[in-house]
Amino acid sequence: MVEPFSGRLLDGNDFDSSDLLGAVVVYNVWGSWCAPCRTEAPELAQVAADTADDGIRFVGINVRDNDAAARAFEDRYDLAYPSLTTDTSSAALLAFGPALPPSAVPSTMVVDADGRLAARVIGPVDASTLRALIADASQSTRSTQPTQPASGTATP
Amino acid sequence: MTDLAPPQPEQQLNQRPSKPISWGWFRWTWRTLTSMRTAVILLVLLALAAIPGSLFPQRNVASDPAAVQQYAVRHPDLAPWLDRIGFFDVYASPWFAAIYVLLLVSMTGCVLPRSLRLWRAVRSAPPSAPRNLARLEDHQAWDTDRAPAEVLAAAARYLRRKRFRVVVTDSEVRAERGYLREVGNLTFHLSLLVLLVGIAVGKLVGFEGRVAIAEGGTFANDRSQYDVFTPSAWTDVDGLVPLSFRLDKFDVKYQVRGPNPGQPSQFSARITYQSGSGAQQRTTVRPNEPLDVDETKFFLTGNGYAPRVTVRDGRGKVVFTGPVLFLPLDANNSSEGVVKVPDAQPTQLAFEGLFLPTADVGPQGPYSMFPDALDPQLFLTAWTGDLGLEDGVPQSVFALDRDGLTQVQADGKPFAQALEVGETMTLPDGQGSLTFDGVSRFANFQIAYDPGKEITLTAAIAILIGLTTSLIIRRRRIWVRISPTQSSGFLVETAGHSLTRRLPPSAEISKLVTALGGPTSPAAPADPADKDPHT
Repeated sequence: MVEPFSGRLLDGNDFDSSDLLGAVVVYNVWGSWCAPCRTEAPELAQVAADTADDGIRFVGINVRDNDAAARAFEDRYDLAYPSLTTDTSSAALLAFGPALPPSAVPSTMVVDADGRLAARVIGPVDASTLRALIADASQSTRSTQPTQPASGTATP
Repeated sequence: MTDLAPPQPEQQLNQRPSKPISWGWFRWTWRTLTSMRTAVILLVLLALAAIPGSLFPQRNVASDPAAVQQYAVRHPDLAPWLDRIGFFDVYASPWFAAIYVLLLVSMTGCVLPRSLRLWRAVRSAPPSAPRNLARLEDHQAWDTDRAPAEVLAAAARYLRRKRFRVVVTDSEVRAERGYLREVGNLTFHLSLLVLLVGIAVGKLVGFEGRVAIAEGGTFANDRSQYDVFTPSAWTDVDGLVPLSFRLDKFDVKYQVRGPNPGQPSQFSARITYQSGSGAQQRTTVRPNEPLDVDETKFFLTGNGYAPRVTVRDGRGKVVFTGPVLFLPLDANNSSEGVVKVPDAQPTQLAFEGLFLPTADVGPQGPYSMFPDALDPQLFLTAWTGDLGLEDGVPQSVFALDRDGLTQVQADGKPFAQALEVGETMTLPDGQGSLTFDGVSRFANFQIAYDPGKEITLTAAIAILIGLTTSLIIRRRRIWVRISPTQSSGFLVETAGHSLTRRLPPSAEISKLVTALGGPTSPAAPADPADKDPHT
């Protein structure tokens, strides 16, 4: 399980991960200083745009950065999804600890609709891998939903 | 047993040609290796082998990562040779590991059989009395009319009350006390093993890391947040202790007067931290006073300046604002650093130069007169073009890859400017600007996780307790024997024997004799003629 966490977004709004329960969420750990983050940013932007209609949500976790530089990065790569600010991203990083922590920049985590970590990618992710992981997470959520009581007792 | 002895040499003769020689050699090696003497020699060797580790700078020591390179620059002839024999990485070198592994094997092979013997000794019953009790210490004998069983029962009762382990037979009482000595001995030997395991666990499971954080900056204990992370073979990289903190303020005081002006006299890092889902706490980290959360220790090891800047790009948009770490170059904290602005448009921007906490300009150029920020200035030049980040190859935040960059020029010379706090340098041709907003400090933390330390400490304490016990406790035996005399009566004999070098409590036997109704004065034994009734 991924612990619930909250923080502030680069656009100034508040964020609470429990608001996203019921949707598959892709979390991406990034920084504007991080070179590999730049190669994966266009792919993330593309997949985020393509899967938005399926109810897939994307949330960035900005680390070791300053907000102005992070916003400029979002601006350059047309990232439409929100990102947590560096100052409030510690809780997000630690929230994945009980399952698998990000442990590198960039890292991408796919969380299923039940709030369980479904996949973790260390290093830059490409679009096709990400699409496959999202599909798996959506599938597993749908298949486990009827057996909700069982999944409550036995978390993987 | 003697019947079996003669065929043995024959058998050996027959077997010798067929048996591989290595088996005997192996046994000899094992015995030699597991002897106490070898263990002691290896222990001394280990201590000797650790000496270069404290004489020469070591790699992977997070507190001073540049030390080895600096040494190599100062000793260009010696350094390659030292490197070849592993003197810059002593604790990870093959020869150090060889000594350590041999010591571990030797100790285990030595201690385990000993422990087994001691365990048997702890559980053993008191042995039967030697034939000739008169040869033992405190031998006493006297005649009695009482029934043998009654005397032996009385002796057993008395000795049990004195907390002896007692065995009663038809003719004698065997008693022994001080088994705790062997328990202490056993504790000592097993703790020795645990100590070695503790050291090994720390070496295999622990990690070391380093992170520099500017004032106001946050840190979450995730591998992604470390500047340098050096795990061991079995480090649980995904299981770091959940901890986050913010560096609220870093204070450093410098001596202004006295023999060493500019010498730092005090460092302290005020932090707000949160461990797990617990409440936020405030604490101050000082040198030798690390933050310790579940064995993960954060040591304060260094500091420097992080000037705060705001960068506007060619469109006038703020594309960077915050502290930038500048690395100190000298004792007066002349520092150098780089500001990279990869998302400035239309062109990427970079600034490079010096931060001088107390700036002055001498014949050699600008320098810092004092380590404290009394007159802070930034001396910067600017670059435009391609920072080389787009191809995805990670690069240092402290260095520029100049391949795709061109230095901003003004009047045919590199554009450079000295900035005081609040001042702005505006690049020619509207390419952007940089404002020096203020001065923050950064603190360098060395993070160490050594879970074996507590095991080692506990084992060390247990070793001391075990050793003390085995030295203090006097293990001794007492026998009471009753045998018929030529007349109708019986002869009672008592004697003691110490299993240690120390003598047993002197009055122990005489009190027993008194309790059994024997002669009160130990100096007056019974009839000398009865001394050896069994002959």
